[in-house]
Amino acid sequence: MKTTNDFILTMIGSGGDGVISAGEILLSAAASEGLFGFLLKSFGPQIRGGESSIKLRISNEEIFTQGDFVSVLLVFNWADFPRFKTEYDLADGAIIISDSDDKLSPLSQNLPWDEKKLVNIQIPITHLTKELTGSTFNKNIFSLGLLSAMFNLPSDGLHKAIKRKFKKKSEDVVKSNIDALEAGIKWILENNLNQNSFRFEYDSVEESKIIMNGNDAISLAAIYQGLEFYASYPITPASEILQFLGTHLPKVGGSVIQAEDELAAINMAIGASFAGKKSMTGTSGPGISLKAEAIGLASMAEIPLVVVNVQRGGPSTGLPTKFEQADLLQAMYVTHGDAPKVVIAATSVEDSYVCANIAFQVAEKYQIPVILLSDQFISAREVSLRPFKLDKFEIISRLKPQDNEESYKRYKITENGVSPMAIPGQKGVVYQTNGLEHVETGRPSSDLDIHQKMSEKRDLKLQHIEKEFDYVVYKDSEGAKIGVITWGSSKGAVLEAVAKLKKEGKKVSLIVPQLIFPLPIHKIQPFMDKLDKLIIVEMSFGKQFYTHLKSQLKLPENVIVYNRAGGKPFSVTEIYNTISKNYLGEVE
Amino acid sequence: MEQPQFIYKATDYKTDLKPVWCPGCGDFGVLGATHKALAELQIPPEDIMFFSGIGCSSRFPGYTNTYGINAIHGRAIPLATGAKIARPELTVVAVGGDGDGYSIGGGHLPHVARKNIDLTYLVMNNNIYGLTKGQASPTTPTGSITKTTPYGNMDLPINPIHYALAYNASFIARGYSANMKHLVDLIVAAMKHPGFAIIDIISPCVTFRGDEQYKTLKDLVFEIPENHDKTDKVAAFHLALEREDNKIPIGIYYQNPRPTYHDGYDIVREKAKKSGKNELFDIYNLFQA
Repeated sequence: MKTTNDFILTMIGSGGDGVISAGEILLSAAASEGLFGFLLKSFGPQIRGGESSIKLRISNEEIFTQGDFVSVLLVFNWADFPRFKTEYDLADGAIIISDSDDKLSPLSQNLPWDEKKLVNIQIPITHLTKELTGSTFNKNIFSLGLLSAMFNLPSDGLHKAIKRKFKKKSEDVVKSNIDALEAGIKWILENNLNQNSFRFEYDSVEESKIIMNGNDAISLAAIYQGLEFYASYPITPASEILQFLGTHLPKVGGSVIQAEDELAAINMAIGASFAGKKSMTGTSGPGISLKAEAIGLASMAEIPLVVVNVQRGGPSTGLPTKFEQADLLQAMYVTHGDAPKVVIAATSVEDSYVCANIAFQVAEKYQIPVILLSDQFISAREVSLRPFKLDKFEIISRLKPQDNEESYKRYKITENGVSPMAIPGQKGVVYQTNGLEHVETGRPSSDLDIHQKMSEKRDLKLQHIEKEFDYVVYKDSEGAKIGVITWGSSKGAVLEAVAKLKKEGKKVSLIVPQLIFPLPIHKIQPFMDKLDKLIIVEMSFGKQFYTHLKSQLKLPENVIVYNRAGGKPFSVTEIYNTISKNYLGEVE
Repeated sequence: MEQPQFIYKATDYKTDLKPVWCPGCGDFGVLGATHKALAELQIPPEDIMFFSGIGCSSRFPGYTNTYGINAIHGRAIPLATGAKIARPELTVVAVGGDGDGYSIGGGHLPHVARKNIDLTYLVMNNNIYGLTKGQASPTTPTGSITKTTPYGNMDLPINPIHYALAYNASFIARGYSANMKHLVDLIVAAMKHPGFAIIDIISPCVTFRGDEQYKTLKDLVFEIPENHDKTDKVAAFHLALEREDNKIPIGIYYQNPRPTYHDGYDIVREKAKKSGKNELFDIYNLFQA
């Protein structure tokens, strides 16, 4: 029997089958035993109920993607299968488990895979659950028992995860679920179904893990940096930030308000920041379109502000529950006029914590709006990852004048463009400001020299930010002639593809800027200068990242853009194939 | 040493920036009345924030020696809302015109009213877009000729009092820029009111609506009789209906205090803190597997 330390499970079912819940419990089980995990959930269009599916990858080695090929596919209901069939690829030798009580079976399907390479197992799941647990209610947990015994999935962890999940309900609920789990395990052992062509094995693991998604990580970083005000309008896939902060921010003294619209949300955040509090607003692409004018106000009046865009598929209403990286140019050029703003892009769940910290540092230090880009692929995944230190970032707050400071000027021209910002309540430094062009005191002016001078002042901040916050992920391979550049959540697939190539002795360099605008050219240009060929990976039909890079850098002569419209994240295989096909240089 | 009874004079709330307004503009009266009201309330200038959008009257914060921002069109209310929630201990005033408040920013009024944010909103209503030089506004009377209604305005004007009543504003008044003393009293009452207070202020635009307005308005406005029950919403609605004699009642139409958003949010905070685990690390621990 083959063993693997990289196991990918997909489950498909109807509303009542508890597929999502089973996926969450197995992820929690894996995490509590110290395993890394990566869970994606997929739903039909129904608001409630309807078909759903999960893809869960677990491994004892760090993973950066959901993995390409499914090892085990469990289908409760083949009627639900067609909706998801283009989302998943099965590994050769994959095992398909079906509920034999289902009217349909895999044989009735036009499967998109080579059936000769698959193994079909039929188990009367519904019938057995009823017989062995008294009802069909815990079918999902019974199935976790089956899977656990068949493939050696962490059973101690499952016990722990079930207790954790149901303890709030009642002891009875915990017991009935534990019984269902154990019934599943027992049935497999009694029927000798634990001898399959492969099983999950792992040796020692590190400490237990945490389970988090990207929106949680952004919210935590915001609280850590001292967020005191969050205003937002519900929108997929950013609403979880509003919900999370609505629950937790009041605990630390902050305020959260659900605004009447996107315009109100950002203007409330600007008002709160003007009043002296660290402020944030969050939305997705359509919301950014509506917030555009106010982002210009924050830039002009130099009011610190973090604006989160959890990107989804566009344009217009687009694909609300799918991911795409096509709001990049919008983020940089969102508002009219020369309005300096900063764009930072998170590349993973952990990196969302990092990037949200940086976003606050930049916004507060440079009194500038910062657009923090995440996307649906980061926000909707649940990952099991290493616990991280919360306090590894400096907490930066805006520069303030002294009370009664002599001849105080709100927009005093300084070396780095930053002038002390008086906080309402401060005596002797009262000022009035404007969305109009203004002189150093804040008073309006349409003098052309003033407009030139103040434009320079605001732009100066970008030059400093580019040097001071030049965050990039950089993996140099000495002597590599080919390099890959990507951004945001596409980093995961590229990282794994490059690692795979490295194992084959191929040299590929990789760079992923987190600071997108202003682009840290001093770090990225030398990277480009070493290359004969560059591959740009981005999930944008319009090649927005390529457009941006071309405008900022001298790219190698040979550039390949690997891109497509969003919806389905890049697989490691397609990135690997693209790099392999274009590989230049020796193999060690 | 004995503390002087009055520290701040009306002129202490005035900046030395010269208003862009035309001679005879009603907004001068509102500005003066506001400074007098602030002096009457003796609020330290540094403890006040003014927010405005765009329009002639939205230049107001620049002429008022408090913290302030002349921001973007229609957003005075959300800016003021954010500021008040962030700093409930400070006094917050939103100012602007009828176009800013009832047209481009009209979507915010229901929400600031139902949330009962403790701020004062002064709307300088001149029935016209002045800054853009004479287009129809949401309060322009039907039939009026303006630059954008060359054949007469087809639309019915908004009735701001009805608007505010429908949205459950807890303080609703109408003032007239030329009745200074009356307006000062109204602004004082609005600022003392705990909750959202709106004053629709008739503030004539002499440039685009003519200066004869002052003559007609003088006879049309009359103070709401003392026997009007300010807590009676239906009576307030009746009072605000268009009258056959075209007369315009000024004063407080409706005032009925109820808990503010900030009172409510204090309860939210208490509930949120009930678990006793209120540090960042406690929140982080929720993610432990």
